[in-house]
Amino acid sequence: MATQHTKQKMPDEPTAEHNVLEITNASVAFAMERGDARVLDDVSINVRRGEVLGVVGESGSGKSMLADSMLDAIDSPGTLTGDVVFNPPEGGEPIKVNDLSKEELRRFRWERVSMVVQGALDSFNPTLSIGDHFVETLRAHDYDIQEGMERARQLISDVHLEPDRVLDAYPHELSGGMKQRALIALSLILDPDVLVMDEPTAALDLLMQQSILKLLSELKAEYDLTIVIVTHDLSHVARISDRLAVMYAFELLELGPVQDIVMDPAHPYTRELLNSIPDIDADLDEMASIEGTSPDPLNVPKGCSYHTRCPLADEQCRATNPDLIEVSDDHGAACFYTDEARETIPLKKEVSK
Amino acid sequence: MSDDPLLRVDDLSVHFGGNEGILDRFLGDDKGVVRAVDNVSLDIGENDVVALVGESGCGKTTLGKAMIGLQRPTSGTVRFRGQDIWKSDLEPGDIPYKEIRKSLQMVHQDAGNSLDPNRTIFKNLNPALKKWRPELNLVERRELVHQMLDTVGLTPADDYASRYPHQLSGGEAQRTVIVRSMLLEPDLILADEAVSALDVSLRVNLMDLLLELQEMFSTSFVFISHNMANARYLAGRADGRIAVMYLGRIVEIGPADEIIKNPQHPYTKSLLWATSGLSEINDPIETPPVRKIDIPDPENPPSGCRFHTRCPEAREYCTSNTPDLSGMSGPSDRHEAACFDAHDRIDYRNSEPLTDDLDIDVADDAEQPAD
Repeated sequence: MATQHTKQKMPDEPTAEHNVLEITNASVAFAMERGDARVLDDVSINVRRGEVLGVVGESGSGKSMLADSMLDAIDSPGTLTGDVVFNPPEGGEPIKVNDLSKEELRRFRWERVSMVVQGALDSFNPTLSIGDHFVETLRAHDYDIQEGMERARQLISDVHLEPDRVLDAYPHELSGGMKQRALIALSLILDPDVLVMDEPTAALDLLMQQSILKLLSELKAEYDLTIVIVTHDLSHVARISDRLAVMYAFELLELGPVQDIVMDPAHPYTRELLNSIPDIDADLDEMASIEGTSPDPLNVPKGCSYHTRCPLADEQCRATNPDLIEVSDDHGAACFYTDEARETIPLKKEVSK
Repeated sequence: MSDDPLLRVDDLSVHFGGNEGILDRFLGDDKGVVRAVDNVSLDIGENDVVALVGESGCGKTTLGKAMIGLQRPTSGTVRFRGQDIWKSDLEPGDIPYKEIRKSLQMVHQDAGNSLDPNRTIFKNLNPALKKWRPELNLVERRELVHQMLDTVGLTPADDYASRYPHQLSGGEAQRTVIVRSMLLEPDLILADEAVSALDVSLRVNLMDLLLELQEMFSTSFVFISHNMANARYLAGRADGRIAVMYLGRIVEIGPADEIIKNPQHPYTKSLLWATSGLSEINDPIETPPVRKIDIPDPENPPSGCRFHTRCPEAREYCTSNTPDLSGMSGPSDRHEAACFDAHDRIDYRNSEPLTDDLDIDVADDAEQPAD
């Protein structure tokens, strides 16, 4: 473990009322036979009110762990350390999520921060109708059922489904895309402030994926939501995100406005990742994969976790893990050589222009 | 050899399920039949690369399997160098079925699960060689396997050959199954979603490998993919074609560049809409270019042009007439589309545009439910 100090604050970091969630030095560890697997390593990130934050990373980069930490929903025996603080939009005392009691946490989830988990298509109980799921949720949180069901109908039509048909249907009667949309409606039934979605479009058809992203941007405007989308597909979320967070080997490597991250990222990993995406518009000759593979959680390299694959790595990178430092307004990267990275790793033309 | 292409698919249909009793046959009741592939014709030449693209359930895997003889067609034929691969009474000069079987290979979707977990990589690869290259002894077979592992970048080869499948990463397992299919020196390889399970950062590498092998061994490739960007990469680099499938039919086929830059079929256009390029990140996502986002029930596909229930250009004429794939006038004579609008047919022009009377529409002003 590299010795980490408190992360350097970016100068123009908005104050508490702008941040709906403040995550500070969050780490998640699982005790395993071979040793402790650290699947989230000292990540600090603020989720701003009203933004769409895209968290991107390859499989095994810790991105789902970051999403789970936002609701303190790490599966046992994993343990979350660090602080996750929720600032209620109506003002009042910040809520420290990872100090909540079991009952408080139960209420907090769904009412404050709601989550659409990965593999959402299996999230429904096959023996209950879609309508039963809404009723069950409202009841569990002591909401007025009748009022709640009216909201449910509204939400269901907002996701372009027919309330009469869908509420009476059982999950197996709906197609994948319809299930996913019904689930999004269900996640919003208690009017949460933040919606966290883990791979919301994986396993769906292309047209449906893009349609759901479109739908999310509509829902966000209508219900004043803050959305966190976790995905492996950068090009997919880039269009609806305001900011992107790039994760690699359980750490946050780069964070910034989506334009900066896509058009001129500072971290060598982000630059190489962008070049490796088989992009529909890019020149065929300019795409190239990144050599090597992501590290094993039990055996993350010392120093910068990317140094084994990075063309710029030197002694310093092998010895010390760089902090996330500001490279331009609101844009941070965890790399000692951001200027060199920008010089030596050119981006594909279509992207950079 | 005659002018016959390597593989000719002619009016091929594959139907699943339904009532198949004698009575039903007399009553003509074919309820419940899924027409996974419906009247598809396609030629694959020597050294050809075709990417089959479509959404899940469009029949692309079924078509692929029927092409390489893993799925018996309901009707129509698949000819390998001019010979029907399901022909049972072989005449002198015909290619024996075994030979055809060996010439048409497949790389399965889930590489990790298509290797025997109880055998080392060498023992996974050995049986095929033993069967088809009986002239080789164990040492020679081992050598050949090592050589192939080397070629696909699994080095040191002797280390990889002695590993078990669970000791491979996803990318390595994928390379191993590619080696397995290449060892038989087939004429055609069907690669079913060969890269979609891999991390984004590794995809281009694997696709490059496939293309290298394709060139090295002069093998024809059929790639199945649901991702336009991957299909474009594979077909584009090999100067191949992209075929777009929708509900069992090929709706558009042509050179990769033509399909991406000059799509003719509204369905192809909608797939491209759904594939955001990174250069578009500043533009908000437009409204989907379809009237309905959900795919119709494949058991009960729409009449006429199957896309008419979702197509923004559909007119009355499309509901009762089925467009055929036919050549587009344009820079390439290899570009074909099955759309009345693209071909500017008079009957189509003269009929009424379809209006949205559908239960689920994606218009921005989705109507409120009547409570």
